[in-house]
Amino acid sequence: MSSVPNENWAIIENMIKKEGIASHHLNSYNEFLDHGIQDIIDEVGGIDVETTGTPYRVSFGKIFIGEPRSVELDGSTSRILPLETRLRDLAYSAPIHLEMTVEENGIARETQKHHIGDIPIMIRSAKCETSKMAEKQMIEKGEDPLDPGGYFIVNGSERIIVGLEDLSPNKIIVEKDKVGGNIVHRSKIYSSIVGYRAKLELTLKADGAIMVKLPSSPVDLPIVTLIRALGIENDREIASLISNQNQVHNLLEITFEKAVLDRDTHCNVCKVCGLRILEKAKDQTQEEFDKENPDYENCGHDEVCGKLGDCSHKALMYIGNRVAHGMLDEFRIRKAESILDWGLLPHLGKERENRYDKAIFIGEAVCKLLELRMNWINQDDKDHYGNKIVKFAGPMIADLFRTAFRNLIRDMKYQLERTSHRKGSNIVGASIRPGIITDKLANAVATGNWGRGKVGVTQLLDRTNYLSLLSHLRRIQSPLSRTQPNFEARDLHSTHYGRICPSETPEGANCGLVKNIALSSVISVSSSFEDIIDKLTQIGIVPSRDISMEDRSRFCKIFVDGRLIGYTKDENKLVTSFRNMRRQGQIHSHASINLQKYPNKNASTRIHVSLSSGRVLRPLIVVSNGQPLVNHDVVSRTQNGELSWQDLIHMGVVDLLDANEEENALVAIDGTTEFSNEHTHVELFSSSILGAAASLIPYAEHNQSPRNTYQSAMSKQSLGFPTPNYNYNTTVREHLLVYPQNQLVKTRATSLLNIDKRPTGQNCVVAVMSYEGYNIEDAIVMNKSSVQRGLARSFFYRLYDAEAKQYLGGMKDNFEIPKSDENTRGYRGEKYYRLLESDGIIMHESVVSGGDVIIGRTSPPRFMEEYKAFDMTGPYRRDTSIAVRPSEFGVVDSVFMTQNEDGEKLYKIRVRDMRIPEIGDKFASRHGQKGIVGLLVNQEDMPYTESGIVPDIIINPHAFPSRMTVGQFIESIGGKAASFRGTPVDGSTFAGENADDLGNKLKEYGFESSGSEIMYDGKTGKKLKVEIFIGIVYYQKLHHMVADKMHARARGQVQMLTKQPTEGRARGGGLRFGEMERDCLIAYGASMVLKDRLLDESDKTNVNVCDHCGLLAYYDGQQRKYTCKIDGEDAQISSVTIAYAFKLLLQEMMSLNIAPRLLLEDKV
Amino acid sequence: MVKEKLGSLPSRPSVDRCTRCGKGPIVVDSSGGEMNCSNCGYVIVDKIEEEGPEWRAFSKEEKDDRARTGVPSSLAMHDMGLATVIGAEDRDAAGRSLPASMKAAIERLRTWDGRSQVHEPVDRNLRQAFSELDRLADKLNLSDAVIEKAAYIYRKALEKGLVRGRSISALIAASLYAACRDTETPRTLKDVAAACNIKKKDIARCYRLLLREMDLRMPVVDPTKCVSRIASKAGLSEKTKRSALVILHKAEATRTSAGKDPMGLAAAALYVACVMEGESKTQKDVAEAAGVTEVTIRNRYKGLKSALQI
Repeated sequence: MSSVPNENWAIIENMIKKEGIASHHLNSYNEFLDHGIQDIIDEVGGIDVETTGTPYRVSFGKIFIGEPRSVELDGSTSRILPLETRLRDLAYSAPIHLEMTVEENGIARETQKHHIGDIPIMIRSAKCETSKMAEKQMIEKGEDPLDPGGYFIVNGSERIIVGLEDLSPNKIIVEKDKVGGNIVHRSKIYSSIVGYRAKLELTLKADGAIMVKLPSSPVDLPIVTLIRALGIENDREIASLISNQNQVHNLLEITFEKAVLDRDTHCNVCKVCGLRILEKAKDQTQEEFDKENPDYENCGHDEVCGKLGDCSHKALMYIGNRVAHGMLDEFRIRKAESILDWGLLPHLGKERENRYDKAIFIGEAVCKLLELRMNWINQDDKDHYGNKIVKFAGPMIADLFRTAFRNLIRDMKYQLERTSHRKGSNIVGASIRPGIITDKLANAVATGNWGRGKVGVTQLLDRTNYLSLLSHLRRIQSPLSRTQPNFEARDLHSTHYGRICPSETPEGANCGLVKNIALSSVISVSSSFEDIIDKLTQIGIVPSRDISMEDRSRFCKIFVDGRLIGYTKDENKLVTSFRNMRRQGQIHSHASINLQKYPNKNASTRIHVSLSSGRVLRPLIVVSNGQPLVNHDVVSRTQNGELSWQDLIHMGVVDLLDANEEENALVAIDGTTEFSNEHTHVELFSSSILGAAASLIPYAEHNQSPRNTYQSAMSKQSLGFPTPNYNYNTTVREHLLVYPQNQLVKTRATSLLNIDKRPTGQNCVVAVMSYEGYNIEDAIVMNKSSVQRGLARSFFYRLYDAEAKQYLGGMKDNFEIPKSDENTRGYRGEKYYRLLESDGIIMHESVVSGGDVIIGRTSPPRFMEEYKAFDMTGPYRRDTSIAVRPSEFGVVDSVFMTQNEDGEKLYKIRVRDMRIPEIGDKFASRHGQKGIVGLLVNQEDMPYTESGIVPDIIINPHAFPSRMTVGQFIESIGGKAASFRGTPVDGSTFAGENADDLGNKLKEYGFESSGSEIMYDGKTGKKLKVEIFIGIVYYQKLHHMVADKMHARARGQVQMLTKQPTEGRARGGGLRFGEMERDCLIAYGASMVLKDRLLDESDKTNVNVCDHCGLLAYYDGQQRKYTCKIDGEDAQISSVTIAYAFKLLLQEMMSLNIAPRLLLEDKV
Repeated sequence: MVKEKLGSLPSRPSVDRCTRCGKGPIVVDSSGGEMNCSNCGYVIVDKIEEEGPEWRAFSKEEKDDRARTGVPSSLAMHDMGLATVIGAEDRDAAGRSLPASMKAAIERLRTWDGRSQVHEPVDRNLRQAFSELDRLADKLNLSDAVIEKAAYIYRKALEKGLVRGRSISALIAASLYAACRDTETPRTLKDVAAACNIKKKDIARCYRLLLREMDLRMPVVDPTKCVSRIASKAGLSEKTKRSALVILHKAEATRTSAGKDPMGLAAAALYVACVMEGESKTQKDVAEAAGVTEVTIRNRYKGLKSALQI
């Protein structure tokens, strides 16, 4: 055995250290800036300006992305860093410049660079300033050197584009489907190019005809018609494009008939040989016909001959009739052609020349469909990770940029044509509106609204602690609806192994749809198509145009990114040489090759080469002739930095496999396997199949699996040390744990993910026993003295901000102390403003509590329209001060004063509150064992061990039997051993220190190996009757604290619409007295209480009702009279007490032309 | 229903004075939901209504779902953003998407609806002007307050009939320039002219017309506001910028700056600052960044020199 499994961690470690934790985001985005954006520009090429005078063309050249910068109100620009954008609510974006040349009559005039808009820059991407900085420089500039980047900053808030799972593009996927009892076979292709995708669907109907659904056609077309429209007229050729198997041809018959039967595309076909029969035009002689159709061979089976070439035309017309019904002939043809060139399989090109390739591709799709029909092959597994890609920022931004750029071009064209009469040197420059691109991009990133119904693409970055940040950056979302079951899609699939974390997924609606990538997974970047074609030609393939009829069915088809490029006779040789070339570095390491062979001999063999970006790869050690190629020497050289993981790939000892290629591999589970010659690979490191959160659970393999899932979710709520630059941080809410500790029982991922530098909890002495019943139902008892010494103490920071807006008519918000004598509406009373300095802003280190004003501000009256003169009551201002939230306390930590993008003054004030653990605060170990504090006990009353150790936390033994979190016991023993040994215990999943060894260690230090100890009751001093299991467990404080939850209301504001008490703690709302509570009171017969809750203390109102008509009456304030609209001023009107909601009901009914009349009686 | 006798009329609480003691001030206690007199403590109003929305939204969709209002109205739209239009969504009342034939019909209706929105020539004029304004503001990176102001000036000018016989583009450019001046946003006539591809002379003519006819009074441009702009264009250091500001403040105190072109003054001050701070920039560099001639810089420079005795 040459490879020791535990050592191989060095390779994973090197991989993540080198690439960074967010490399998939950065690579994807950099790829877009590198060439994706230029491709989109080139696709458009230029603008043809059609004017009445001299038409000209504006052609586009190269694109340039500048440095991130901000444009101030006065028009000056300055370079910015992420920190400043967060503070000033700016966007971290860079200008895009595009070369434009005016060409008149083909003569190019001078080329100018124009600013066409701004693009948000991803933090730590190639264009980001911080990516070029050394660690020291970053610290100087106030940036966190351990910030992994991979997100955007728009309007000062951090937004991340979460990876989006998607079906692989350009891949023929076949499936069986049941439609009303009939089995329908389908073949689907999502053809996509940068920022554009078109779906093509072929259906084998119950009657045996194959129909195709085009993206822009309302009806389905017969497949033969489509292929004919693409320019292939010979039926035999069409059939051979599909397959050369007779059984397949038999299935095709109905489809051909379908196309033939249609009058529009009717072409005569020789019944014997399948050749199309040409008809001679009436006025044509035989000589003329022969001259026109030199290629035409009369098969001799039939006597008729005629004019060639209209079969394709007729098919085009057939399509035209359906997509552009009722238009001119010429237009119909043009429309049909544009659909073929632009809408049909755009990944094969958009030119007329590409039509033959498209026909070949469709032929292959039909072939696969019919092979499925014959049961020669199985239907494709949609949940197989080889059929999926993950889209990160690059493709997503490309999508957006494409539409934005097209909008810009349309606007420019309109402008140029409209102002063509106006001459000037700067016509092009003046016609550009950079805002079209800037706003579209910034808006989409800020809201997550990607257009076309795609919402929630971006999310606010989770900065609760460092781990939650890492986990968020490695998250993947599925576009499937979360309201539908989709059982298969939510299940863990075998191809997830090593790619997707098996534990880390939310519970509930999103379960299995939101996933996290494993530590070992690598997201592919795209590589060059042309290079691969060269390499494959070198290896030897038969191009698809040169292949003979017989070979077509015998040879193996080769696809590169879904495009049929040729055939090979010896598929095994080709695949082997491809892999060898890749291991030699001649082919990009992310390119993958998959040989698809079926047990059925009739089915075609296919080779798929994938170059696309977004495939999830995983590294595996290559096994050659039963020997793993990574040996002790290689690992130790990696460990001491001589070799990087990239070197190992270039050496050909480590492969990156995607799920498709893995289908061809036989992977041994670890180095202890007995290798045979069949083995191709061996796993790199066992626990790297876990994601960021799950790999931090010590001894996770000893836990019941859902506990690891719970823990993965919970660790993201624990308080810790999220960032060292917290003094400059301007996040709305932030928690900071005081004295965070390193874990005594850690995993290998702890230091790799820098959790040891940004810890999220503390090591506590935990005893498992009951204590006076105060820890039943998952409560925990805490040592009050430990708490007083600082255990689990944290700070909570809340940010308040205010800007001075400018209004129409030169009025502005003012920062000042509102004055009582100046007619200020909403004046709160002097005591609330007492802490403000003369500039209207509070001083730092002031002690504040709920309601205290921290930013004094007054605003001009609302709804001051331009034409309206001042209000009758004279000028007044409104108090729009910012006060501390009710029920919160704190000390003003820092005051930031700056200017936002519009040049308006902006204040940000941070209030800090120290949170000492109290009854009701939530805590959890690392094994999904959560609980709230039930009691704080003085140290002297706590139980103690023989050596005088007093637990920090006492948890109830009932927490274990049903949950089976054995990992926590091992951690407890390990923690105890570690604290005596002086070095942390490695508790990595599958690879941690042996539990028995730890027990033996304890024995060495004079403990019982089981971890139990004799303990004494602190109150009585008596020995406890049983031994108590006690050890060190890492505990996390979760951000659910009673201080943020407790709430009560006596009086308060009411809602505007219903006049009922407001809802929710933040608004000082009441507690709902709901329907079931109402039922109780009815059952008790407590009618007075019922009235009190539902009317008197809710929305009681008096309304005026006309005694005669029973409708609502009103009081005319000007005439000081009660009036009824129906019965006039003299009507008898009474006041009635009703619920305001009932008044609304009456009025709403009236709006529906119903007259609800209240029949009144005298009060007795 | 049970009726009660009508009591004494509810007296409308005056916002300004206490209804009981006639003094004030009145204090709003939002947590108790009351307004009371800070003098006598009388509760004038209780159960006051909360101003914010009564719903809570956790996501964008929820927010869109529950909001009952739209975007605020704006002067910079020909209909102030208050018109009713046929929506872009091809869905019926039940939320199903329309059949293809209906889609075409609705599309035609939409076209005609769009056209019929502008039935009066004034509307057409405004529409054209504001689309131009939008573009200009975009290019010049102006804030909403400036755009609203420009739209306001243009509307007033249109009311007075100043637009007739003049080009819309020139007049809207002039309005925008006027708005910039009014809100003290440093943009030169040259900037505006470059952004809209109209001759500076034409815009200036319209601007003067606006000033004259509409009796606009503009605040004097403060040269200090031009400094950072020129400095950033010429690539000068923060230190030079600061010392230029000091020079300008001194110049203002000695009244040397009165009646001079602020851009030229700022440029000259920056040049002086460059010399003082030892930053090597030629007069030409600074002049180009400021958009003035070197001669101007030399003349202002002389003035500053004598005034400040450098």
